[in-house]
Amino acid sequence: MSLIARGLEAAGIPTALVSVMPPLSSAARPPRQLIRRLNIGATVGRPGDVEGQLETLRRMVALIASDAGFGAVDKDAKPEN
Amino acid sequence: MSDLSSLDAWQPKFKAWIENSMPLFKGGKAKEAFAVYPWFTTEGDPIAQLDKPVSEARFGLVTTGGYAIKGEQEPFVPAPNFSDDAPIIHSIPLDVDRTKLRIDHPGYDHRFAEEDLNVNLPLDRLNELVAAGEIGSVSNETQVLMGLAPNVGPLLRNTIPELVARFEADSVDAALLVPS
Repeated sequence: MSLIARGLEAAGIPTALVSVMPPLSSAARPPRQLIRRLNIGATVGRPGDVEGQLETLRRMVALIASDAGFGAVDKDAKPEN
Repeated sequence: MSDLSSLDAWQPKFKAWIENSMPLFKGGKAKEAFAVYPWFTTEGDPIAQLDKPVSEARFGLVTTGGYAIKGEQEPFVPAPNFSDDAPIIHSIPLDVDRTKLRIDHPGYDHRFAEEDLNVNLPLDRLNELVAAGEIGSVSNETQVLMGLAPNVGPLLRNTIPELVARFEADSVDAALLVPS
């Protein structure tokens, strides 16, 4: 999906990619990436977690609106122990 | 330098990997094969800027959830694609009859999506953001792919130009990308 992000951006379409596997997604250098601590198969949010799902989409939209430039990353903080 | 122009240098490495890895795949050792996968090296920093407020922008959605509409669309093949054939891209309308959706993707647990489609096909959430005026509009067609595309060739030659064409035809300003 990172290569798709790059291809769309190269064609003039800004993108935001959400990733729960940053070692994989970052290898291909996506232009804008939201890294969330969620599960594969529920990348937007947990089932039924409307607020969590909205948060993911809002943060993706904010990345697209930002002028942070290539390689912008918004990342969930590590949970406190 | 575009990624497409890096493809020629990568393809011999991919071909060698396929030849060396086939015995592993046939022996059920896909994990060992992917441990030595020749990752594609990207060059250049492509970036586009939105030229309007997000509250006026039209958003497209791409998911690799492997969804297809039963009885209307060809199901995805639930296995990695090594061939040079153009991959399937299904368009799923916002008002799709959700009881007709099927998932053919071996790479993730479908239980989350079966409980709540929005976990990787967030149609309700996007509609809510539009209704709240937070984003302008959403493309009526979500673009659905299968992940598991170790052969970068058809992805760069076919999938990306096709997605660009579909988005441009629908006046999409920006894209949200949701892998599974």
